[in-house]
Amino acid sequence: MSILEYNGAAIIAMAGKDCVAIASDNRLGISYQTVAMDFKKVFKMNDRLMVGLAGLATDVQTLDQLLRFRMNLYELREEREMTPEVFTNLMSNMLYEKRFGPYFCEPVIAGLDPKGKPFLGTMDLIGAQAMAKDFCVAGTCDGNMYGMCETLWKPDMEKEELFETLAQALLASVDRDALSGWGGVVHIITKEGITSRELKGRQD
Amino acid sequence: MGDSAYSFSLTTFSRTGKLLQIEYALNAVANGRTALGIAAKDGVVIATDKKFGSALVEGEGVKKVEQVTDGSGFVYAGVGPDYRVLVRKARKSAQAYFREYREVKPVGQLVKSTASVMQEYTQSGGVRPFGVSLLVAGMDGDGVPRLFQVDPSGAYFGWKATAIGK
Repeated sequence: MSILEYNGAAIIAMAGKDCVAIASDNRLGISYQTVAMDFKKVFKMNDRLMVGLAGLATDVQTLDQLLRFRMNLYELREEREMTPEVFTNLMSNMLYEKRFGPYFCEPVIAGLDPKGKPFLGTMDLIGAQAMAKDFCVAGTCDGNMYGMCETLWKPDMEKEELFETLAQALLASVDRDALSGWGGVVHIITKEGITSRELKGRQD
Repeated sequence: MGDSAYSFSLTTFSRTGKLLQIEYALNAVANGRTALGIAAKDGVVIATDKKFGSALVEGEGVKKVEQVTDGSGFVYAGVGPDYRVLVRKARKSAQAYFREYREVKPVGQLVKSTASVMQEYTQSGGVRPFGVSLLVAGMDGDGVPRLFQVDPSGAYFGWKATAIGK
């Protein structure tokens, strides 16, 4: 089993009309053995930016801490919030710094740019960036997630429809993957703020 | 920085609480050619003159007002060679910032890091302070024109308009 699949994860982010949503599953496993059903993989960076981290759980947690560290220093020094574009580049840089001993983590970045437009980005474990207008996925069932998103996504969904679409895409994808699932959590980012909802799924 | 034999700082306090090396550096600035800057509503102007010792000097290649990023530039009063070192360091630091964030380094951040370098040279082994005061002019993405002065001590001030040197 590859190191990126050791703990299991599923992350999807989707863009809607002036909003973005990002969701993850809840499972933490040690290979086949499920160890936690409430493991956090999506982290709030500021009121308009969240990042989902799929991969080795220790690196998920460490990267969350390191990103918090960098964000806080940036906000203190620059006296402004970090935009999603800048954050994506920072993350790419951080990952590439460890090019020959990487963090085993593939991030999905979802936020609203300073003009309020949706921003979606993802990268591989060594920082190769890819931005998208529709959806970004990462995790042990990424094939499933790509298929579900490609089928269910349509442009300019309002936040309620975006929530439904994202939830259905995630739940259907993780059900066919042994390493991810045990419910999920969806966060919707609009200019008013972030709302989060738990998803009830198959607990197996 | 500095020779291994000089791990102690050459800039030390006088009894009255002054750092004489910095005072003397400010003297070097005061004897330098005038440089000035004015912040307007839609931009900043910085200027200095170039005076040479002889009519035979080829002045074309000598640059005193230097660009540092797409949105900022420096001018100085004081010791030219010291200035050039600071411009080099500032440019490199701005490029490193761009590599990390893919955003042009804001003028305020540039001023802080340059000032920090200048302060280091007042508290490190085997080095002397820079014999220049800088005027840093620029505009960030927010469109607000900014003008700063940075002194040999590392102290910096924002100005609407100012002049340094003779």
